[in-house]
Amino acid sequence: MKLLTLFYPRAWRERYGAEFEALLRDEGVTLGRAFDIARVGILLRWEGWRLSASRDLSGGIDAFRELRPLYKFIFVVAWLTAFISAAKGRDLTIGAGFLALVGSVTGLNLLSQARDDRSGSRARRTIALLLFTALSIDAWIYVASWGSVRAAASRWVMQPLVMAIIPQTRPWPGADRSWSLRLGTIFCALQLIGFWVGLATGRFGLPPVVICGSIISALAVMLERERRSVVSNAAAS
Amino acid sequence: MDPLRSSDPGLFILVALADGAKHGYAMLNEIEDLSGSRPGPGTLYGAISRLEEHGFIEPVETDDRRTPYRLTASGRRHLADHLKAMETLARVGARRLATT
Repeated sequence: MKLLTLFYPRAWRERYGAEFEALLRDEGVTLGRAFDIARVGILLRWEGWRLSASRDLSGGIDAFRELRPLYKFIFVVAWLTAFISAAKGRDLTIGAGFLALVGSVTGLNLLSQARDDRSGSRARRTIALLLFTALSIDAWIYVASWGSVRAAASRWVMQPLVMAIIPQTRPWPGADRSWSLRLGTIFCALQLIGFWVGLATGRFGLPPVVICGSIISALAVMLERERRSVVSNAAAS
Repeated sequence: MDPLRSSDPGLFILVALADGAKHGYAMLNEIEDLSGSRPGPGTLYGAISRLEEHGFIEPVETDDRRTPYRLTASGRRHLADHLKAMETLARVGARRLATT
């Protein structure tokens, strides 16, 4: 009986769980009733998810209205690139684009909540990190698309990081240089530039973000060195 | 969303509670008498939680694990409005049937 109540959201179980189990003890559980319990539990979960998603979205829209033009630009470009990546029709790309969108909306919602409370600075830090994550995912979407899947094992780890943070880096030998990918990379570079300009202008200039960015930049430099050595070894052989 | 639709057990729950507080098992018996079919426990408690969320019913303090529920003033008003609308619909429908 307890197992069947697991279909229901936790808050619901905490409120109604005991009396619901008492009713199940009185009624007994048949196959039909078990199906009914599961069906309603799933519906309640879906309803709860739908409501919270709609609250998140409206919070996000409120926060978006209050953003400075620079951050509006960054978010618009993040959405745009996600749509472009979805249009390219790669499962991986769509998934990553979706993550970027979720990151953006969640970040906006956090910003919205941060307006009135004292934990505002912490929420701002969180949104900055989320935004950076979303933008990095966007960067990864485009750069990871370069080249064939067979050669992707190293590219999906190294090339995205290198290309995202050092836009002038050339792609790996043999990579596909289609215009859509170039366009994506330009968008990606614009986002990252926007992000770093945001940091420089102060609003997102928060220590954790700077530290995080520095670590990734250092990693990128290391990876770029490795890439160059791989390329030169390949040329020598 | 209006939790009272004619196909929704919410309406039957409100009618079942109209003459006093009842717990889940008693509500099921009452609904079976009213509608001719016994809803599943999930359906019943799904409706109870929605009605409580709308403020139409409220739990009665008890030590028993089987919590009784009763109508609130808002639930009583809502039920009365709904029954009135159904009554009008039934009257008009019956009149039109009689004229054809």
